[in-house]
Amino acid sequence: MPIDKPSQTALDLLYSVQNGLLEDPVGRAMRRVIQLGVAGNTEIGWLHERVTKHKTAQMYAGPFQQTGKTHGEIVHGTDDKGLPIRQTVQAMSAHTLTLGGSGSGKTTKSRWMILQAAKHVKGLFLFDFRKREYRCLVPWFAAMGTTLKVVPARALRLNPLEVPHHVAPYSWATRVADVLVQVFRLPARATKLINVTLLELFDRFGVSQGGRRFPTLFDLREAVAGKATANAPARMAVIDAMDPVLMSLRSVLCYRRGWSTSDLAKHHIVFELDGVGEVEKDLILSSLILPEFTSRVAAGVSNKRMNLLVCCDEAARLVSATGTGLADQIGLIRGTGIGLELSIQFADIAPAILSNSANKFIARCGSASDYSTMAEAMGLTSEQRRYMAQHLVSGRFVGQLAEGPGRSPFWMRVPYLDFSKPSSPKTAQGHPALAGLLPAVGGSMDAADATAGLAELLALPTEVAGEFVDWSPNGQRTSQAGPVTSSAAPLLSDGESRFLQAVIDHPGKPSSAYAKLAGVGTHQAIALRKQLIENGYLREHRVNISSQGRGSIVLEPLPKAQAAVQGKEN
Amino acid sequence: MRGGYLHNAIMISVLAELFELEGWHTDQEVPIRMGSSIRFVDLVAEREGHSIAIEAESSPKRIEGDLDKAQAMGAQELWIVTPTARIAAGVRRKLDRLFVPVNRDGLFVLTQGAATERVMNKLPHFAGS
Repeated sequence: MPIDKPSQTALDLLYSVQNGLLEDPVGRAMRRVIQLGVAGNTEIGWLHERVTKHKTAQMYAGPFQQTGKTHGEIVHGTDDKGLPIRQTVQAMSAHTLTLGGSGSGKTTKSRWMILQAAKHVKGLFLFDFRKREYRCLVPWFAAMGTTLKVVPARALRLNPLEVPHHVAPYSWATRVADVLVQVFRLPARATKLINVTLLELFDRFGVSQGGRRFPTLFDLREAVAGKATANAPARMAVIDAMDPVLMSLRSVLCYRRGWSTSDLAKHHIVFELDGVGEVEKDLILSSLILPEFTSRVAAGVSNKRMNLLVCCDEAARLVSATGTGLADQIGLIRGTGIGLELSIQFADIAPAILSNSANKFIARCGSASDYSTMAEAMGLTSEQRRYMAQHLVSGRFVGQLAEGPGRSPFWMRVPYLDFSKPSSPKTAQGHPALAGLLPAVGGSMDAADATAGLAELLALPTEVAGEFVDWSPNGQRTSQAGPVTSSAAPLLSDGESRFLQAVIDHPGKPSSAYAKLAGVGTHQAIALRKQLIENGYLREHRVNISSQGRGSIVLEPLPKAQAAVQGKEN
Repeated sequence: MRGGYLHNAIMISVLAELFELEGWHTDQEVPIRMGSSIRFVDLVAEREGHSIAIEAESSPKRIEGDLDKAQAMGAQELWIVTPTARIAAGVRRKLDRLFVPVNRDGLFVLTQGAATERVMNKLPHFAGS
């Protein structure tokens, strides 16, 4: 029995649907009347006209398909017609990888995307590994009503051994041992030594029993040095590798409780790591990213709305096939509410990173092998590969999105944004398709006061390991005697001190009153209160201090608080 | 002074300060002889021959003792002040069981907030103050 050939209208309809030509209201109406079989010559003519136009445009557009109409809050760029190529914020949690040589426009693309995504995510970690590319965004964030906090590497307060929330201490010890061996480039034998020493330290400090007072890397170094019976080459390798880093980052790592990544994940932060060595960078990066990844995975967070976007400019070390632990984690963090945006200059990429970055972009590269790697990962045809290698120029990208019409590789242009000057018609503000995406910035773009937002982070609760503030490898101090006795007044952060002082000076106030009295923000005051209660400085009581409404929380300063504040005054 | 931070610093001290501000004379931890033993009233406020015994309570356990002390010292009013409304309700229930009428005959069960408000502007005998 002969099979009827499909009619021209059916072919046009199929083509239109495949290429997103009927996404507007008129197109949807046309599709409906044709599918219902009530279309007249006019509708069929319109459909044919759209198909013909698209095919004609496609002939001139090269081997890449035009995406047609796309949806979402984020505009990656524009196609050749100037139509925006959009994507939902949530689709960015499928991770984004951008490959492009120096000057290809990947940093501009990254900034452009960050400015749009900032208002949709609670936390933003921007890592500047080599230059200071992100601090120029400070005025734009200010115009949006948020603060982008710029944190130089040496202003950080970290303890890589601090067990993240939801993670079992022994599991973390094993994980940290692996990470430290990778970061410090230690021999495999050192993994066991570090792991066993960490487990002992966790027992000694009561961390394995749920305590929240953690050993530091200094404790680890001293403990390893004190293990006379340990494998000597492994022991010496650990000491040799750790000493310069501990000396260099003494002010960063001398915290029993550093900044919690879950606290940091509520802020928009630029981490400027340009002033430290490569090993230090790896250590800081691991300490900032891995705890949050691990914590979310351990908490069983699944298919959560994206609330943390991590952007790494020049992330070669992070994604390298021979690099540190991100490749292990990237597959796991999918669905935990974290989106990764990585940009690199050359295609030394771990297979796990390629497989788990559903949004891919390639800009002008300097090497055919770079094109080849990405083209293979994006499934480009040989014609597309050739075209891409010959036609990509600065500001132009070939992209592939996680979902929607952008799943087929497309050709894209990113608007030029001059971040060194106030916005002008020449920037994206004046671009007709992109109008309204960015805030108007009228002030100076000189981000001289870029570190102004740092004060808020410095007020986050921490606990200093005072005995290591002046540590040196020549054995000035050791922690072999165990944790510092509680009689010594521990050092408090500035915010904690002010909060305690306010409670002592103004007894009986509702807890909400202390934010103003201590000169801190409301959310920060809540965090400080919880922290100080947890650390035994304060006790809370529920009291109806007004005749109506719910009871207020009234804070009682405990003797430890009095001692701490007096110690600070002296 | 007996009692914890909540009892002393938050409840009694604050009320004493307010009474003083309103022109009352106050004494804390006032000893009362009851038979062979000495008991203490948390706070006594006096003005123009009118005396108020104030007891801060965080549970209904010692209510009977409070009534006895107020009676023994001859106070015109007894205020049982509690940190929360829930404890105040518990005190009222206990007084119900003892067949003691609340908010009449000079006996008041008040939360800290209600007591504060009463001192500042609702004392019936001294409305003009």
